[in-house]
Amino acid sequence: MPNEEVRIVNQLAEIAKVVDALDAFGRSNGLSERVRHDMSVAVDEIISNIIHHSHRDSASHEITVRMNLVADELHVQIVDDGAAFDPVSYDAPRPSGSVTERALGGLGLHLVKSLMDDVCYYRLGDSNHLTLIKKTTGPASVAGGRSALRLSVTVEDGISIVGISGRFDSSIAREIKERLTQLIGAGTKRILLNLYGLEYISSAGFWSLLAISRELEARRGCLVLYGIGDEVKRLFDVSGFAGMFKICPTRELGLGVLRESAN
Amino acid sequence: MEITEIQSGTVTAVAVKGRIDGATAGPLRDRLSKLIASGLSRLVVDFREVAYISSAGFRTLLIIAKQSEDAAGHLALCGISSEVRRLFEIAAFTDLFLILPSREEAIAELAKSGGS
Repeated sequence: MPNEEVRIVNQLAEIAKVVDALDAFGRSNGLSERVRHDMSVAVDEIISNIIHHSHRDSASHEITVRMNLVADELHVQIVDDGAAFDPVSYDAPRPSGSVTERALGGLGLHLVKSLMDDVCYYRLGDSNHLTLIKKTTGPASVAGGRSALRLSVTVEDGISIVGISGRFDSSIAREIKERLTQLIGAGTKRILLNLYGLEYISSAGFWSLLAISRELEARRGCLVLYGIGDEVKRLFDVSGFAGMFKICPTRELGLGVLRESAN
Repeated sequence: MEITEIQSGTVTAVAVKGRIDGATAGPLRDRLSKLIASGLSRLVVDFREVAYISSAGFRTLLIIAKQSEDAAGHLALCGISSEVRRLFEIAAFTDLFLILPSREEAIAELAKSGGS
């Protein structure tokens, strides 16, 4: 699965580095001009926002950008250690008004949400993790076609970190299983599932995760779960599935377990 | 981003090449402001080689439009690609500006306009 990581410091002049890398990544993977263009604008907006608003001190801060091609989607995750800000729940006003009355607050996020097929956010420790998702195939990406469940993928040290948020029920279990199976088919052996944003998981959800876990084990790989909230933990306990998965309290511990498993 | 000025009679065309982003929107604004302040009241901004424009760029355009209005000047945009056009539409900026297909048409249009 093609992926690339770029690290920059929080200065506006650094944005060009990310957009250059993104463009090169998109070209070498045959992404259309539209996909590269729209993702460039969205990444530019998000990083500009971080640089302008995220840090309260004048120290230098690192911003990490990870690009991943996941099946027919381009995922770009942007991680910064600034103040918590969730662009997903921010309600950007629709732009209107003449030259003199036009207010521009929120225009950047309006562009991002209009250009992307999906945007996922979670706060982890002291960092914001934002994933921009753009479908790479045709205009099939129609608004309203989105499910209540969101899935994002990034890769770190050969470990695929998959975030699942929303409701994981029978209506979506098959799709999730297919997506994870695609990852495995593409050579992924170690998957860390981030369930911070998960609101609910049904037995169909459990079974699909179990199937993935077994698929990975059959290939001498490993599935580790972390970020399980109290409500979801209760579902794991009540259903009896808790004992069937490797569950870690934190991302770092989860990554540790997976690194060990490779040895 | 590169900015090139081309004087054509009473009209000044400003060709922008590259990305109008968070880093380059400021310099572009300064450059255009300076032109307006120096009395050049008929400006064409040529987008033919603009890769994209972010919200910082739209902010710059709005500021320049206000300055141009205050100076009783005339402003036109041209050469906007289909990708950039989509951004203008999403930002609801298409109705705020006089937009013409080519630089030649934009220059001809502004040359006709009244005033100095």
